[in-house]
Amino acid sequence: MNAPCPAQLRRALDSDGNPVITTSGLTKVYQSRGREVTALDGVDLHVREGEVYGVIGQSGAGKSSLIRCVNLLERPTTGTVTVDGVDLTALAGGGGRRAGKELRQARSRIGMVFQHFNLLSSRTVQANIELPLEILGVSGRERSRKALELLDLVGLADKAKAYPGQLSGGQKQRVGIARALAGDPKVLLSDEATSALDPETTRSILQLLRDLNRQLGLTVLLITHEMDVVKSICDSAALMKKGRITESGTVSELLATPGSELAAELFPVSGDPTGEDRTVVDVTFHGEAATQPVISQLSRTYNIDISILGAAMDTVAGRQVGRMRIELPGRYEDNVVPVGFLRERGLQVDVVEAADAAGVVAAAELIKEGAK
Amino acid sequence: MTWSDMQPLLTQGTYDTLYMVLWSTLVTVLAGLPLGILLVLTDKGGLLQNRPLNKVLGVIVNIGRSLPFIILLIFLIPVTTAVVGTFIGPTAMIVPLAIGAIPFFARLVETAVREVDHGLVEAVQSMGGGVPTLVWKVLLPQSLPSLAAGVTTTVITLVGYSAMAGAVGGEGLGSKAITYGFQRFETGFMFATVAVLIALVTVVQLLGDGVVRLLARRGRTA
Repeated sequence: MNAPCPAQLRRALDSDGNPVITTSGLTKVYQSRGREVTALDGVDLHVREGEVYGVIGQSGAGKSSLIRCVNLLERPTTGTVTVDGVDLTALAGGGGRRAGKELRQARSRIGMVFQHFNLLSSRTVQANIELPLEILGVSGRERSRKALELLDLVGLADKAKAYPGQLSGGQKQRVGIARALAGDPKVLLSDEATSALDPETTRSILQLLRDLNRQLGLTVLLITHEMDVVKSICDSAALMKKGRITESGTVSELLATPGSELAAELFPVSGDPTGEDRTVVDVTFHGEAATQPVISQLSRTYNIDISILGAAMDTVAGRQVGRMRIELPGRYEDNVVPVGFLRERGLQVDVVEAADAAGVVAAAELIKEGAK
Repeated sequence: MTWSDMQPLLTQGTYDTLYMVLWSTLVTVLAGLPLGILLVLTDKGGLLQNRPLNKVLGVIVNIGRSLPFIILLIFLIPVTTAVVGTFIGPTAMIVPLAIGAIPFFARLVETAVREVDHGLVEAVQSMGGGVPTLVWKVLLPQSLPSLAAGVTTTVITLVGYSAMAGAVGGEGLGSKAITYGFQRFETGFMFATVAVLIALVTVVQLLGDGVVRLLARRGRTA
């Protein structure tokens, strides 16, 4: 239904940043009671340095396997994973389950936060944060200095001596993030880090991730099933379905891609035409165009009445973006000029009621799915 | 039999029982803890997956668990003699007591260690932690309350076993109860021995529960 190619081609063309995480041809097949289950089916992922990259998909889409393959907590069946120039799949070596020294060293430079925090209940908050430093062989005094500094960074300076059992979910995740940062990682992997949190706490944790991304230049790869997470902090996103990435690109690229399912989900708009002989058009505003009064210009220039059937405006990755479904009087043939006017203004225009009936059905399905 | 007759016997018996139980507990923990951990690590999907070794360990543990202790006690007489030089007396009894309790404790350790959330293991692996780190910094500290409960249960089991040891030349409360209470029909003395055993077990259980509570209080939830 959607075309993965345009976004991926564009990605290849304008990848200005260095890819810090690259997976190519990643597959993961599980053996379960003699049956083979394919969790990853040829995933190529390119995460550039300093960006927040979100992989979204429903449960069972393979997101979890993907993020676990990035630091080789799970060994991919085939394909390669390169993080910060190091080919982890090569370090993993043969079939043994044990991680060799080199792989363990490489892992210590990749931070990871988890949905259920995974803090050790037997250790204080400070001791939890010191654990990765103990593994790295950092001296006691230095460990405690670093841990307190990180606690300060995540806003929990007063909780050093508390036990995880005494903290709220949001505070636990902050500790989890501080712990993940202890080894000065270049990359942070976030496995549904906000999925066990309430909406308000989710916002504050996402804000923290965003701040860390900006302050420390940390590259963040996160997986989530919540579109809001992508909307609020991601620079780039990929949609995952049945072990494959069906769309990927920067958020603005995605919004500019006609028929992009992610864009439609980020900005679900709906509304049926009010009668016969109407043209329904979805207009996507982003960048400069978002601030210009194009609709009233259109109305004045062509002296036509425009009905707004549905609209969504929001800030995505710090930019104002919007999508609007408008209705113009007359058939599409009568509206070629006004539609051209909108396109000229730099807007992305998708005609909902296309000439062929199939297009209508496809668009309607797209919207229905977007509204879910 | 008057109280003044009973008292030295009870004191000596209690002392011998404690001696046997404490030393055999020490040996049991030292041997059973690694064995239990190894059972978890070598199991399917474990950190050191090794099916043949796991099978062999499992069979050994099961054999040890399925023999009634009194049979094991007699069966092990040659081993005891080889290790201690005699099979009579409290010191000699430490051998069969420990051998009888090791498989039991190892299973308790296995259960306790298995209960540790796999997410914690994954988290520490993601930091670059290897198997020794996982054992010392995750599996053992996280299962400590359950392990303490396991030690308590083992000590109480050993108190019971040590009484049986009285039947084959061991010393302690069991031996005194058999010699005086049973063979000489001193019912009063039998009651006194039973009372001391109950008190002993109660004290051990209370102490153990206290330790478990203390350890578990640190963090009720992860």
